[in-house]
Amino acid sequence: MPEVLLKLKDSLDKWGLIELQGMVECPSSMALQGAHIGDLHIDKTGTPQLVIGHHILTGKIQKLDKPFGVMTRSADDHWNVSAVIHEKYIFKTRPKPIIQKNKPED
Amino acid sequence: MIIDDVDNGESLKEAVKLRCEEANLDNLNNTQVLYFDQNFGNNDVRLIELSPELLEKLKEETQFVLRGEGSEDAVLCTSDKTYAVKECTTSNSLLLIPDLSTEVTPSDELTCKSVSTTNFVYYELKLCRAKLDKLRTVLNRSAYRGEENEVADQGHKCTTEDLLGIIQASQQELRGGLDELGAIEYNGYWRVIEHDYKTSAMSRILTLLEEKAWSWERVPLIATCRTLEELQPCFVTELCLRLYGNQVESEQAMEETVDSEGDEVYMKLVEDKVCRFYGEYILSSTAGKFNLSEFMEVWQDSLPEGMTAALVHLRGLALVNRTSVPHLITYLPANDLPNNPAERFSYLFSQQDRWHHDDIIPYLEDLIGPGQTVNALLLKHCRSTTDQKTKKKVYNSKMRS
Repeated sequence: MPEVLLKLKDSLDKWGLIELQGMVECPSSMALQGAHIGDLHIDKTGTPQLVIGHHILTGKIQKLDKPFGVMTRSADDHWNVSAVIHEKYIFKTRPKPIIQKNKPED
Repeated sequence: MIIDDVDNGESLKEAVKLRCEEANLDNLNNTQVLYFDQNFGNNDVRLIELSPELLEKLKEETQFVLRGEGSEDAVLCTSDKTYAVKECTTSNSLLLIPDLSTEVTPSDELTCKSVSTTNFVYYELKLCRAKLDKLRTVLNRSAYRGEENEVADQGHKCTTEDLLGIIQASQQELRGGLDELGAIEYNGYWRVIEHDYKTSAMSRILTLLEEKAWSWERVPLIATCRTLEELQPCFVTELCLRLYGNQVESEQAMEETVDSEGDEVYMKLVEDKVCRFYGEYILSSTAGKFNLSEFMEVWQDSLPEGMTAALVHLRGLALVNRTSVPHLITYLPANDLPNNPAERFSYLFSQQDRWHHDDIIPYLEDLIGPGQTVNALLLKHCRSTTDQKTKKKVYNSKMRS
């Protein structure tokens, strides 16, 4: 039985993580490829705001007690740790629906 | 990617601005527009929790090894420790995004980022006992039992690499396991010596010491090997002497430049180990129980002069029964017992239904993993009472009514 190695990449990439409650749904992953998800902003108080569809989610940036290694497959059937994530975006509050502003009549 | 192409950039910026206005949000900075990447659904990216200590270790060692055959749960090994790999599920979605920024210092910059995968599972690592149970079985398949069997046994022999492919342990823990079993590397393969063969080999060595009147505190390794060469290979003699003794540091050899003894290595036998050897030899030679005082006599007689037999030498090998008349001693080696805690307790209580704390401990020590205690095992599997006379704890099976 051959060993499977977990190798640390020589120079690490930078990856990030957004944690959302629930799932992003779609009938098939294919339909999602390339699709726009939403816009992630930082507001004037330094709070992350995520606009998805007709909702806004307010969140925060949280440090991970235990960093995550990001595992990607390497060429020879082993694994690389390509990046290490030390903090994540987390959106736990209920999304606020966006109420469309009425356009002023000309 | 940063949008700096005027056309696309402007229209994207406009679109984002519009979305913000609709959302009644203003003063928004550090905007990252999120997309699913072009290969979303086919990317295989996983998360593994790495404590700060493990991260440091990974930086030092540059790689860890995942081990596990077929139905075994995978373990992750560093150079000296083994961790169980556990799959944890979250109810939340974890979106993994290359180059995602957590910069909060305000900037007008607008960038696009792609989600590579959405994960619901991550790997957690828990320090565990190296799984060395198989090692004894694997090595016994090729236990040395004489040159005439060497060719037949070739297929079962294992190198270090072979062993690392079968045993779920780090390299250092494997070495520790090999040392404990008294294995030796012979022609690149790890070998143990078959029990009966080892007993004969050891007997020949001890008989030789008597014949030559060599002190057991200063046994000449090479001379012993040479003298016994016709009866047993040198590596067997050497293995026995290293199993039952320690090399003597020779201060004299350092000073002398020309000496006929210059190349000789001296071993000092360890009294505890030799006593244990003879005790086991006598106990196992007949099945069943011995009269304790008769046994002690025979045992003491068998020992080289200067060594004293004591029951503590037989820890984990023998059970003493002082409630019967006469007192009895029974051969009960810990190595032959089941590895599973519940099964082991079941067997121990089938031998004797009450166990004193000090008597049962030697039969439980090899079951303990990191962070576990013998007392926790006892609490889980036994009922305890306190002996009135000795004031010490006594254990019964929980199974009995």
